[in-house]
Amino acid sequence: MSEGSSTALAPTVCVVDDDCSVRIALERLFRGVGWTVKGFGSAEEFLKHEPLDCACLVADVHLGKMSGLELQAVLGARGDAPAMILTSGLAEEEMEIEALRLGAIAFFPKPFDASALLDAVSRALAPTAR
Amino acid sequence: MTATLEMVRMLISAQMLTTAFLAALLWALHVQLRRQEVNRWWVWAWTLTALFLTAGRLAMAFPAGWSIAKGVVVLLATISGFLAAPTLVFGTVSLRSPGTITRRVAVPWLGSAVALGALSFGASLVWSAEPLTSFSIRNGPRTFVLAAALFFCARVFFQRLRVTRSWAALMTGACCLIYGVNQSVYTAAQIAQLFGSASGSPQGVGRAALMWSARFLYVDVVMTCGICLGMVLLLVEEYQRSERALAESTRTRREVAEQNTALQLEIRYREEIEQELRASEDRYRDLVENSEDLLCTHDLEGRILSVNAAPARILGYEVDELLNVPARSLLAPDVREKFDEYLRKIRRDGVAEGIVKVTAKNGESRLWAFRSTLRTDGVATPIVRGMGRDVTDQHRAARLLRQSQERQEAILRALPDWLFLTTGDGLLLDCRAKDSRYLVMQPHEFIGRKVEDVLPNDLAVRLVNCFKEALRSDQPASLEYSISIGDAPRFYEVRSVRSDQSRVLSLVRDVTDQKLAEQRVRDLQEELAHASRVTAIGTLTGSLAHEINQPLTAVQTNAFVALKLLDAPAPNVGAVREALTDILSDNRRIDDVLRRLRGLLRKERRDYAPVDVNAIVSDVLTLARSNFIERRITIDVRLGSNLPAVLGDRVQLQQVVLNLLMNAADALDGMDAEDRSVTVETAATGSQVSVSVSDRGAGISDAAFARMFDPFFTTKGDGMGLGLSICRAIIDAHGGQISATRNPDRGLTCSFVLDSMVPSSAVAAPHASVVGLRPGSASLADRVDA
Repeated sequence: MSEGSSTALAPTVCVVDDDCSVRIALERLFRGVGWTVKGFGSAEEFLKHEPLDCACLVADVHLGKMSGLELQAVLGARGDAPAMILTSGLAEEEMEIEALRLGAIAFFPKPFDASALLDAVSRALAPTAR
Repeated sequence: MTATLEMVRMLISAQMLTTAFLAALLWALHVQLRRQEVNRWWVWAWTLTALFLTAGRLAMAFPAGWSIAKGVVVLLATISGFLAAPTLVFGTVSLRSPGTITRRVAVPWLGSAVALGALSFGASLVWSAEPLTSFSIRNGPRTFVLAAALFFCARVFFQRLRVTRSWAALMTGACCLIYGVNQSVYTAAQIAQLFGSASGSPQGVGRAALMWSARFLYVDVVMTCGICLGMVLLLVEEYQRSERALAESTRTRREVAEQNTALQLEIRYREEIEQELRASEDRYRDLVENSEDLLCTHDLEGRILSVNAAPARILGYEVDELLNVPARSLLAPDVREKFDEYLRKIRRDGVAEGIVKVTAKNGESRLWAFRSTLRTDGVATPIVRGMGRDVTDQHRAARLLRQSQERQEAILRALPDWLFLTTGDGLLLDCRAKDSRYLVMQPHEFIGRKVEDVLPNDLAVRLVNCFKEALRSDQPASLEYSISIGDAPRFYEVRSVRSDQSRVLSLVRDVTDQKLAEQRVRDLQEELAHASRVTAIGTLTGSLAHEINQPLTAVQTNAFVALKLLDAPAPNVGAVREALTDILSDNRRIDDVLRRLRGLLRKERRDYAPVDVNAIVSDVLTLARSNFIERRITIDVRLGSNLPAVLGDRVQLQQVVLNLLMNAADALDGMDAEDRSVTVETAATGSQVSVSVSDRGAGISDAAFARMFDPFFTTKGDGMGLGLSICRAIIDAHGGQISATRNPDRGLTCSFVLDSMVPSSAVAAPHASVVGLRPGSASLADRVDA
């Protein structure tokens, strides 16, 4: 279940979630539809090992030191941010508004419908959307 | 003339003979009668008289005219005649006062008499021519001297007569007087004769006088006899008196000796008696003096006559002082007027008794019980014997005892408790029950029975053990029990104390109301603790949702993936299994959280059991983790290894830990990211287990720090201020201590300690990893996969 099976053509989807089971489940979901997936336990880890071809980033808001929103802000400031989808176990409206304001293409309060997430990621990966 | 001369010669001879006879008689007496002085002189007097008469008679035998022989005889007669007078006087003086006539007295007189005799003789020789004149010159002085001597003797004898009433003295005195008168007449006759011859004329007058007086010569004889006889009788009388005196003296001496012996016996007897009396008196005196009883005598006027030491000592007087004080004044002023009544009663009845209040010198009042009796026998004036005893102390003791008893009664009346008096083995002797409603049976039904016959057996055994324990020691033994009266249980507390050697006094207090109230308080505390828990969990709601949402998300995703995989023409079974396995795992996670949440929200009675403190901390961290993540607080967990188990209520201890964690988190609001950390630490210290939670917050003020465990004290705007006070109540109920200290650099550390069940724990921490926490891990975010 590593990136070894991914095709060169397929875009890479990155998952940042401090919850192991959630991260593994999402990796399994995305890999299942044929995407290349890279998982990270924290924002810092992602920034350190960020793949160059990351087309979409699915990140949890509540991470360790750097939150998902902060990560979004960092990437947004950089200018070449991948498409961002944020998730949160603590569904709060302000958090969603903040995420969307910062340029997230979607916000999914946990637990969410896996197909809806897939749709959102698919849209992000579609060349038209870029 | 011749006839007269013849008669004179005859009379002189008779006189001479009687005188000689008497002289001889006196001599004989003198020899016989102890040669008394008086006798000696008288013997000489009469011997000389006899000599004079003899010589005179001889001279008459000579013829007229002088011859040598006649001269010698006349001289002898003259000197003898002169010597007779002084010797007669000497004898008489000796009779009157013996020892007066000494040699020095006698010699001059005798010498004078001899000289006078010689002189008369010489003178008569001168006138020898005139025989009558010569005779008168020779004889006149002699008769004069003799008359004087006789008068003197007569006087002495009469004096004696006055003293002794002696017939001999009377006779002798009378004879002397008459003889003296006679001699005086001779003298006068001879003087007349002399003067007659001197004048030369009528020679016949002097001669006639001489002749006339010679007629009375027989008187001389008689008188001489009388005097001599009287003298003999006087001597005999004197002798008899001296004999009598001697006998008297001897008798007296004997009597005196006898009396002396008797007296000595008497004296010795008396001495013995006196000694016995003295010993007896000493005994009684000692008895009286040292008697603690009050002894006195007084008269019917109330004057104290005698008193022993005891009353004086009690009253503060000296015994002598008391004797000068009227008995009345010793009485207390308020009873003083009764003294007269007392005296009247004594006078009337002879006895009085009672209790009297007296006043000591220092003003102190004392009570004396007395009994006084009147004594009239053997005393001049009646006296009252008073005997008494100081009963002040007894009265005071009795009063105190009475007061004490009354007080005890009052206490007993005031006591709501039941009082039972029992023996050590449970025999019910007495009971005092103010309220007997809840007694199993009424006192009259159980007095005299044993506890086991009245109460259920197991309770009776416990009670008897309690009684026995009380009997064994000085300490009260106590016991609590409950018993159903009707259909409701009632609670009692027994406190037994030893009443005496074999009996036990037990106080039984109905503590049902107290028990129920305590139960109510406990229930309320539980309610409050529960409410507090619910509140605390309320604050966690969001975090808890996160905690559940995470695995839910994973479950949902994995389920979707599994379904998709199954839709494939050739489903990858391995992948499906993987997804399903994860689903199960995440379900367990959800279940775990919910279980712990349920546990905290559970509302059940305190349930003490051995618990592992590390497990409690881990459970709480499971629930609070999301909250800490949300608040971006890192939590440093340092769980001690091998902690002993403590006895406690798991839920309540979890509540305490949760509360401390939440307080620590609250303290970090507004702090910078690097200070946003909380440290939780557990450790075993000696026989205790400690849990501490420290933050690096700003801390609180001194005033707030001092009050932080008080109820309703809070520094938070929205807090009730009950969290820490409930924590303290819980830890107190566990027998532990909760405290807060300021950290050296910043923030506070709240900690509590609990006694461990076993010093070195058998209950280790086998599931320290259940929550997947590694001691000392930097952050919950660093979760390690199980």
